[in-house]
Amino acid sequence: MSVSEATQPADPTPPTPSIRGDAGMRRIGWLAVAAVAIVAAVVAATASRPPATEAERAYDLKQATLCPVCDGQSVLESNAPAAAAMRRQIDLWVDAGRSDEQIRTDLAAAYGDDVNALPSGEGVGTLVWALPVAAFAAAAAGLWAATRRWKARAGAADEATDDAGADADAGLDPADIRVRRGGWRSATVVTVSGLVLVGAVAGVLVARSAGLRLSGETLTGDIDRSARSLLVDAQRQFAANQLDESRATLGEIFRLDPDLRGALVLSARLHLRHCESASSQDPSGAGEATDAPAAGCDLQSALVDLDRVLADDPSDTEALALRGWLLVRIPDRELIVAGIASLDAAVALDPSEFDPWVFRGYTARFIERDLEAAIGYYGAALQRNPPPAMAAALETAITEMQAELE
Amino acid sequence: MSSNPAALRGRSWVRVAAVLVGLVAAGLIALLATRDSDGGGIRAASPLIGELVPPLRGELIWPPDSFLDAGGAQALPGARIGPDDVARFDIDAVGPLSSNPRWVLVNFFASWCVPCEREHPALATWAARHSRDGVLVAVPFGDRTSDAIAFYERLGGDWSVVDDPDSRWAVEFGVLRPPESFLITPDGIVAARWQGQISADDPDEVIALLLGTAGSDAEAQPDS
Repeated sequence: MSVSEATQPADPTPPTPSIRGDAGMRRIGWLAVAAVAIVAAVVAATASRPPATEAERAYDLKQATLCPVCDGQSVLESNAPAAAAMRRQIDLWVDAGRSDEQIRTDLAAAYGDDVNALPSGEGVGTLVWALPVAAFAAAAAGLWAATRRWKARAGAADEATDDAGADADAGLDPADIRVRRGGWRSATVVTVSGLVLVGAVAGVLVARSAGLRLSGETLTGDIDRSARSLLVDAQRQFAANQLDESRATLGEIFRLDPDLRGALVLSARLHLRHCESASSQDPSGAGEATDAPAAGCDLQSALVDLDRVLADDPSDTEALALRGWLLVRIPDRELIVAGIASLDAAVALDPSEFDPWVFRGYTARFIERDLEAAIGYYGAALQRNPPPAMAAALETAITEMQAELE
Repeated sequence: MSSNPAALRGRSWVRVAAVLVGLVAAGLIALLATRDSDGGGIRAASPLIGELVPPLRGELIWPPDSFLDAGGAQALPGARIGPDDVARFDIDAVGPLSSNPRWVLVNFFASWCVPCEREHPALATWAARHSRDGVLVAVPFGDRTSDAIAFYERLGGDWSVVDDPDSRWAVEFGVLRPPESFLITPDGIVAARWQGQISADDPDEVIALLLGTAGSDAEAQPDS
């Protein structure tokens, strides 16, 4: 409106107050709509919170990965075997804790960069992001220029009608009524389009903030047959002493992921448990353990499992401790030395679990006959929150050794 | 119909457009008809070429247990029976760090795929030709394990077929549609990829090419 006012010559009779009030209200309405739209757009753009579930993360990744054998479909939509394979792998990779970036890189390494539906913001790829922004800016500028021209024209028309009806009562002039009706009509258009815009932005916001997880769904969603979720089952079965069930679950895990460290350690524990269950009732398994092996006791397989874990991560204290514990109880001088070295390595890493310290203490007490060191190791184990039965056994052992020392 | 000159001009314009479309279609037909088709697999680009081969390993679903139990696993390069009595293939066992590094031809197939069936004899020929310095390993892609086994029961083959239930290897190799084959050098580098049916000579041409290059390299660096 400022334009039309500016183009109006210095007229001693100002436009009627009703028209000026209308224009002011309309301007405020425009500003309000623009403010809401801009704020909503900014919120929508910046409030892209991370996916709520792993399944959602996998879903996003599948949506952002193009099927390499179809035209313009994401792997989420396509039925091609290649897309099915990629979906399955994305599920497994997400479940294994790989980052989005890693997964995208791995897929690009196998299929080429074209499978990435979200091109990088570097090089020619920048165009993809810059062009829409430029187009939008150009459109907005064009629209603004067009409205300016329309308004200038409307101002000229106003002037003409003002001249024609200069003597008449402005409120009753039929031309003025026509102008006001036109203003009312454009105000309606503005309000309706403003409402539509706000509604659309609100819809986008709601859609963005809604998760994909339905009530009763797990955090990993439809990724159910994953190695990690099976490992939890296997560990639960092991804790409940269902050794055969646990071994069966492990078999399933190894089929999915032969290198899963937790599963290898559990496998070694299972082998060891068979060796211990026959030979000891001690809660720590620290009884007279160098007996003949029991049925199902397979020290060699346990050792193979643990060595595979250590090949992957030489500082895995759990594997180091178990390996040492397994070796020191084989009545062979060399193996005992190797076992003590393994236990020393575990203890040197200052693990927060208690069992490496118990194993080391037991070795010091019964194999090396170094009671002072054993008391030290048992004491360290006691500080690491062992279960009550174990704590009691350790305290008894410490008292016995102190008595023996005196 | 009308003798109106404007309508006549319109008609001639339509005729020109139709002729143009016809020419383009004819050109396309000519192009597609003369294009190299099913005869040999198409050497295809892959981001993997020149890279280290993905560590392909997995359970064997072929040859059958009876063959493996009879000691066949020892004769099958890259295949071993693990402590859990399951026969597995491990590409490292024929890779650069093994005692006998070999050329590896990895073949992705599906029982429902006609070119896969057609290329099967070529694979057998290649495997026989390279019984000493090569190993062929097949991986089902987009197929049921049972169907893949049935496919090999029907067509035979004395090489390893590695199960890929989660399509892990298909994705690692970036397989698009079966059949697809990858040639890996004894140094464990992916050297070539074919999409579609291959002949036994296709991989051998690449091997000859690489051996020629490898030979001159060896002369240039005698101590390597």
